Amino acid sequence: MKEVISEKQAIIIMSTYIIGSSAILSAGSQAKQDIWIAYIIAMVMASIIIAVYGRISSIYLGKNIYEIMELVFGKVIGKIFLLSFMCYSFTLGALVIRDFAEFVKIVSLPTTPLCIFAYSAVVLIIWAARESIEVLGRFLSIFFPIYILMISTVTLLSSSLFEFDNLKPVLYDGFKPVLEASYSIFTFPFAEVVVFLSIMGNLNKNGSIYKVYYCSLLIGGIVLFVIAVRSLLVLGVPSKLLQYFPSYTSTRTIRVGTFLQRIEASIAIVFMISGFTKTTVCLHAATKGLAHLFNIKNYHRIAAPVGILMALYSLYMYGDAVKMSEWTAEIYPYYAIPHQIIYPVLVWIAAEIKSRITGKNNATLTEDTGNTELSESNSS
Amino acid sequence: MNSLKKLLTLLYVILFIMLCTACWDYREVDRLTIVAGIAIDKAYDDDLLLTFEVADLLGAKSDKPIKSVIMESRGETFMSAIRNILSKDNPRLYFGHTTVAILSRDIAEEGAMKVVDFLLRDGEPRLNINLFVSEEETASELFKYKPSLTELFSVELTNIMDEQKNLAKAIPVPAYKFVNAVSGEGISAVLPSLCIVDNAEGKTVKVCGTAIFKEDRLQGFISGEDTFTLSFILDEVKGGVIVAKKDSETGEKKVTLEILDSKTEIKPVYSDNKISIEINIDVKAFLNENMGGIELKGEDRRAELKKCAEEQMNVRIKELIKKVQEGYGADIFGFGNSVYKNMPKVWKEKKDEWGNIFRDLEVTVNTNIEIKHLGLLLEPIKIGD
Repeated sequence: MKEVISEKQAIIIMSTYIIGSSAILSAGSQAKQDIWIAYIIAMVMASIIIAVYGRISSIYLGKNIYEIMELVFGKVIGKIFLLSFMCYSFTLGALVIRDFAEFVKIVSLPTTPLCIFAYSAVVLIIWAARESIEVLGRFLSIFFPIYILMISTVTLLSSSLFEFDNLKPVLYDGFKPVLEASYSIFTFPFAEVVVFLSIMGNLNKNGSIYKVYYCSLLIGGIVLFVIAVRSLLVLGVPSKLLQYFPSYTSTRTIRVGTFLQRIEASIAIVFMISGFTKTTVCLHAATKGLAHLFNIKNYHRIAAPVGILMALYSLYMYGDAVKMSEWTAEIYPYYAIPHQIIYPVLVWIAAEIKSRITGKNNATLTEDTGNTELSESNSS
Repeated sequence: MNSLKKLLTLLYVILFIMLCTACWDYREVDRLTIVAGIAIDKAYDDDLLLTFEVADLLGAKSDKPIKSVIMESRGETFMSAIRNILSKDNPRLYFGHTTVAILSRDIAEEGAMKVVDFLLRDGEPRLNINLFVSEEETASELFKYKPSLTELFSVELTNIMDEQKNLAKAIPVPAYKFVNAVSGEGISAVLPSLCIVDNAEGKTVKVCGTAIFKEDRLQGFISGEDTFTLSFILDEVKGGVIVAKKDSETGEKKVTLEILDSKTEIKPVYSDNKISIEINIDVKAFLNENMGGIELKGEDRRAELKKCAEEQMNVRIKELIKKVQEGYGADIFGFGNSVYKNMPKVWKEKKDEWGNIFRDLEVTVNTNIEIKHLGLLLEPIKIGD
């Protein structure tokens, strides 16, 4: 049975995925009050690389990245690429689980061991990954509106605390920190949609791959932009930079009269939904990769072991929360380069060449190339 | 096969039992000791002496109002003092509902940030907790005076600060804004100050004025009247009253203007390599009281009153600025900050010498008071023979 997700579901999943853990963690804080510029630049940067991702999926329509890698690079090199891509998804998933665990631990349950959060989160995630990506799509079509409603309510409620003076001065330290910030926002979270290369094959035939990518970038980008700017407007520059979880803390300051206050749990719920989505997608991608590597037909079956490994790995990744945040701020942007930029571009170039050659050689069109033409006419 | 299934079911049950054990950090509500306010003092050696006002929930069970209980604890640091209380009484203090933190003078003079750090770092206290400085010898003695109406001093104090929107004689400063002012560019922090005054029934605590900081060290206090003027400069006025005095043949006559709305704009001006500041204040008010029976019929008479009130406002503001410039040299008005925000290039050059520039900064004040109406009376009440 082939899993199929509709265009709408794909957009919802990807937008939630983009918001992911960035809903509470602050990326690109070195831009200070210019973070809004950094977000816009990051979105522009992301829209370029997303064209590459979209192109790869539309050359080999209906195939996931692992199959594509094997098709264009052959069995051996393809498997090396596959392994690296799988590891990236796996690590990313573990990272999000760790973010989630650290958040709950620091914010509300300080004496509970970290593993409890990781295990209880991963049970649900494994379930979702086993039930295939369709179920996640259906789950989110209920929760996504609630999710957006929560974010907009929190934003509206905090509007009385906005100080637009906090946005000034513009570009005080020059353009360099803004560019650095926008690059780190680009790698976390925008270009992380590279993981979707393994899922895009499941998009139903009528859906446009490019539309999915760009709509999600727009929705996710706008939500993250709003969240980041809201924290800045409420807290102001020195206070916002101090915070580990700025959007959470800025929600804590909301006080409407004496009755509507302490609504920071809403941000925690938002993070739980988006973190869950992100990890599920990563686990799904990693499981598919592993199944492909060992020629296992039914990848759903190995979701549980991979998921448990992911939870365990998340606990051993870093010694403590400080190392984690340093790693994500300083090393992750470089760690992401091969996985988010170099490999996809290589695959794209190779796929472009390969599809041209097979297109010329084969007078009778194979299914793959037939799809290529179809997608080209779609995208143009 | 059947036994394997049973075994698996058992395994699942065991697994899910683990998930049903609820919170690890679970704390019963009736065993929580809710701290409403903290007073931070320095003990005779370098330790911190913390005094907590705690809401006694045991009273709440028997229809009695919630009682306030004072607890005291010492420690080298904030957290150690909080934990040390366990050896005396048996409460685990809970800071999620703390609204007030009062610093003593010595603590504030030494540097307030070292105690504020805990309030922001720990997960329990909220970052909009209101900070105060005690003008008295210690901070803890303020807790000794029971408020007249509410049971908890800290709750009363929070209500007072909320009411300041109708008075503007104290500027509430949540912890995160204090941090912004201390570490922000070209601005010095202020905190409201508390003192003990005589009241109809014994003594009570009052919000007296404002404590002025330079970096995070206390420099001095200004009075409540000056705080009112300060809140105009800082654009914190949402309401309050302006008393305008008008000279006449029969002596000074006073009118009260109730503020409906006020807006302040601080505009830095840069010309000839010199920075000056322009303050434009726009007040909408109505005449609420005419103590001297000033005749207000006719456009020019009202214009005269308006001008009189504006002039007095300008003078007060200028006096305060001068006082702060000469007495403290701390830019509590955020003039430097307005330069930083509106003229970043100029600020880059002048940043390092801002302390000196501020001391002889030229400030022009333009107040515009718009009198919207004169209340219910058309004319002043005439005094007949």
